Amino acid sequence: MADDGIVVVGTGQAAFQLVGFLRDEGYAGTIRLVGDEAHLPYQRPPLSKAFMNGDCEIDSLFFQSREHFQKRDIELHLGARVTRIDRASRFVETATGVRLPYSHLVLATGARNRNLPGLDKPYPWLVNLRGLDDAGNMRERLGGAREVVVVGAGFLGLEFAAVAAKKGLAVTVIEAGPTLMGRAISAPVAAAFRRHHEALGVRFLLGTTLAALDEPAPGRCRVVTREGEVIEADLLISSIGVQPNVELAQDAGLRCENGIVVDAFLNTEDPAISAIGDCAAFESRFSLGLCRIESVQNAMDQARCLARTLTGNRAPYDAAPWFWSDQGGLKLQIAGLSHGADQCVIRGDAQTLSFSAYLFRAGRLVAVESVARPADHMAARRLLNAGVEVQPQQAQDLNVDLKSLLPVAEPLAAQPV
Amino acid sequence: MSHDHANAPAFPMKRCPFSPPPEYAQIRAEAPVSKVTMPDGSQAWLLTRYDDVKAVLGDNRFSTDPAKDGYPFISPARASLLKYEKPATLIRLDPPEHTKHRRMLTKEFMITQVEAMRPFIQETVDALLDEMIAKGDACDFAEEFALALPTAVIANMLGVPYEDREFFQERAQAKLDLTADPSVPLKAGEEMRAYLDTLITEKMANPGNRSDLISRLIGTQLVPGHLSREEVLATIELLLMGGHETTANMIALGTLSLLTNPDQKQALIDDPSLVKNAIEEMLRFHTIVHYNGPRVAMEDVEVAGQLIRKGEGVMAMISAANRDPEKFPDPDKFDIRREARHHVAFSYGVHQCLGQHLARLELSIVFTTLFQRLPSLELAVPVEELKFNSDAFVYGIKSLPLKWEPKMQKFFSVDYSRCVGGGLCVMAAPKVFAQNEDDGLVIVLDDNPPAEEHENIREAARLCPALCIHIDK
Ligand SMILES: Cc1cc2nc3c(=O)[nH]c(=O)nc-3n(C[C@H](O)[C@H](O)[C@H](O)COP(=O)(O)OP(=O)(O)OC[C@H]3O[C@@H](n4cnc5c(N)ncnc54)[C@H](O)[C@@H]3O)c2cc1C
Ligand code: HEM
Ligand code: SF4
Repeated sequence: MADDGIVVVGTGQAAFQLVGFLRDEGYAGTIRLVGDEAHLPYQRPPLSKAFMNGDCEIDSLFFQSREHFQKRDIELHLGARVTRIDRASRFVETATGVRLPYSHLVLATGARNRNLPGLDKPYPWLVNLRGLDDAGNMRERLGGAREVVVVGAGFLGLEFAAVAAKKGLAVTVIEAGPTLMGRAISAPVAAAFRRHHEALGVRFLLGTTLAALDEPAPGRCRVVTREGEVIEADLLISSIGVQPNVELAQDAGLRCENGIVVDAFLNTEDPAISAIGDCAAFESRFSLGLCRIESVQNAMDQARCLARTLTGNRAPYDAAPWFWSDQGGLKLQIAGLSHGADQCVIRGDAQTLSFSAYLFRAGRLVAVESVARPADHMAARRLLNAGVEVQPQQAQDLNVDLKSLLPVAEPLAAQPV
Repeated sequence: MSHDHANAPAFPMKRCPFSPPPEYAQIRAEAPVSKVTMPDGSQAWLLTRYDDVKAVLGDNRFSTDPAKDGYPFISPARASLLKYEKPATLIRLDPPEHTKHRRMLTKEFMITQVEAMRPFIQETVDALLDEMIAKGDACDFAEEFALALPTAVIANMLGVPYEDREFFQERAQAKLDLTADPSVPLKAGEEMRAYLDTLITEKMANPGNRSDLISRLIGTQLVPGHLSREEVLATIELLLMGGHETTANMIALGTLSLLTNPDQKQALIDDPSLVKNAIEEMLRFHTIVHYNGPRVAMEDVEVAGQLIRKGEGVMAMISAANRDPEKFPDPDKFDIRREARHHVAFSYGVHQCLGQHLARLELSIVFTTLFQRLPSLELAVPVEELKFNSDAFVYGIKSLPLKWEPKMQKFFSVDYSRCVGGGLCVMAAPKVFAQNEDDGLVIVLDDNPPAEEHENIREAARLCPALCIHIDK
């Protein structure tokens, strides 16, 4: 059978890294990168941080120039939405009817923002932050705005809130849950970030939802909370979470459960189809059952792992997850996955803006959340990767150098981080 | 006054650029508690020994209230300003009034609260230096850096628009000028309060959810009626003035001292952990508040064996105390390694500087950044040509022309504050970048890399998820 090469659906971080690693590993076949966004692959994290703050321009967000892809012999199909996978004949079809054959197919379709429920029509003042176009639009609107409402106190919403508050805008964050970054973060860390945001001037309405949303005057938005509080603003940012782009896989009959389900080698049930990045659901020694991770680290490391597997160095995906968020200059770094944690101890002083929370599940360290403590974070990544046992008393004792628990002090450069 | 001494020398005495009036040393040696004649002809006690100065400043039987009989005025301008100052600010109040007002502000200036300003201060220092470097290879450092930083910081903290800085800088300088016609500081004070009054009105009309100190004062003191509007105005004015002139002069003079002691400057570059000590020494050596608060005795008090009678004025000079050889051996030597922490440059007792943690934080950020960024910084004119502000309440320097070697065009620069330790830069350009063993943050191995590394650095810049790496070309 002729080798039709590799088709990658999506042009996000996972897809971009994958095709680069494939060439680095010596893959010589055809590579086709097919994405529905019209832009060259770009970085998402700065969209809600440096870019929103006006510290950088669009140009610096692109991973590579068009020439770079040409030079590495990577076919780019931009603005092309894949609408169907034909598993039997091994091709994908785009919205315009173009068929692209594959020997191996990689789904890196990412995730999309959930829409605010109950919206009757699109409003110019309502922005959903996920892509470059949203961010560009939002940054422009931010320039003329004085008041903004952010719905959802997740990482993105909070990063944006901090940027806006630092610019002197009146910012109100509405969140259905009782704390900031609710599901993802321990209470002490959430409380510290709340203090930080409040010091920046952000106002929080927690434990409430939108009862109504309308346009009292052209260009203005009016929000009514469940308790009847009325807030008017020039801009409303919706960031109530994301959902994985699984429809393509689902329609092709692949198993999907809050993500396209893959095995330890990032393969779906179809040996010719893999999935990586925000869209993939997998199990690992760090998770409780299936998990799906939205982070640069996950997109990068899965891309690297899959590139090796596809070029003959088959190895399971086994990297300790880590993530960061930069909220108005205060950095949160998380190593591991905290779900199911039943014990939390603090290293440092939780009343300050510099400490780490160590989360244990049944006595085992599963995650470390560091607020402006990069050294704790770095040590945590190594401890988790090495599977070292850490006692809660050791974690909270500043006299114990946690790094010393590592088996051998490997030099940092030698391990993929 | 009944107990006048015949040959009491005139006060104030003329100081030198880098030391208080030489008479202080002589008086300290010969008659440590003796009288001086104030400009209005009255007499007051002059204290020059460390222990005596502290004894008076720490003793609440001495009042700082200019309305009290016998309060010594150091100039006619000061007299007109202070006598009619209504309402009196913190610095002019005695306990228990003082305690009540000071307590309202204590929390705002606690170390933990002030620490939160660190990122802003560092960003501002970096931006000001960037601007200086971008403009060329010389500047008036006093104006463009030393004054600009504390102005931006206090404006940010209070919530006063930085755009209005020229207005309040000018008014602050006019208020502190001891030689001006008395009408000048009075008018400056009025204009300042009128300006702040408008600001308060605006903030009250449009509370939004601001987190600046003025808004908090409005919310916690003015609205509930703990302070009158006039009192709030006076407090803000004091903070605004106290917050920038002092620190500005300290930055300029501290820089100057290091430039004129190049070995100490080098030591500081080589070992940044010296900064803490260096700052204390700068504060001691210059003691810029060289006419610190006069006092008047409210009862008969004995100081160092000398009876000071009720109603007599006292000048307890912290600038003299900080040069007392008993407490600071070889006191006229600037030495960043000496133990200087016990200095009284922030005064002593209940009026000890409220903003000292903020001042120290600003100074420590400045002196851990300045010479690292500009190791070639030097004076652009001979020291003898520098003009000092001897006649102001706060000693300082009007203009400090500095120059530096224009920096070599760098291929790239790194914004360390954004790094999240992902290590993608190391992957792309392992000869140029590494990660710190401990915290994973980026380290530059070669800041002037050969041309064949340029493409890798470009790649690193594009990969870095925090956009830390900038190609300057
Ligand atoms: C604003 C923002 C800030 C972030 N900040 C951080 C951070 O600080 N730290 C961190 O670790 N992570 C952060 N993330 C998350 C991180 O960016 C993502 O985890 C990462 O981009 C995931 O990459 P991906 O390639 O899996 O998915 P995506 O980047 O979402 O890419 C998927 C691409 O596939 C396209 N696509 C989907 N379906 C189809 C189809 N049928 N046909 C063609 N194309 C399709 C999509 O349009 C999209 O372009 C942030 C994300 C956002 C949006
Ligand atoms: C290097 C910089 C500074 C020096 C050397 C300094 C020095 C002093 C001194 C000597 C006093 C006592 C004055 C007296 O008794 O006459 C004082 C009081 C005071 N300072 Fe500072 N100061 C500095 C920076 C600041 C800053 C940044 C602020 C902040 C806003 C500030 C606010 C005050 C206030 C409010 C008082 C009055 C306190 C009281 O009376 O209770 N100062 N300062
Ligand atoms: S890639 Fe950027 S964020 Fe990561 S270590 Fe390098 S400089 Fe830091």
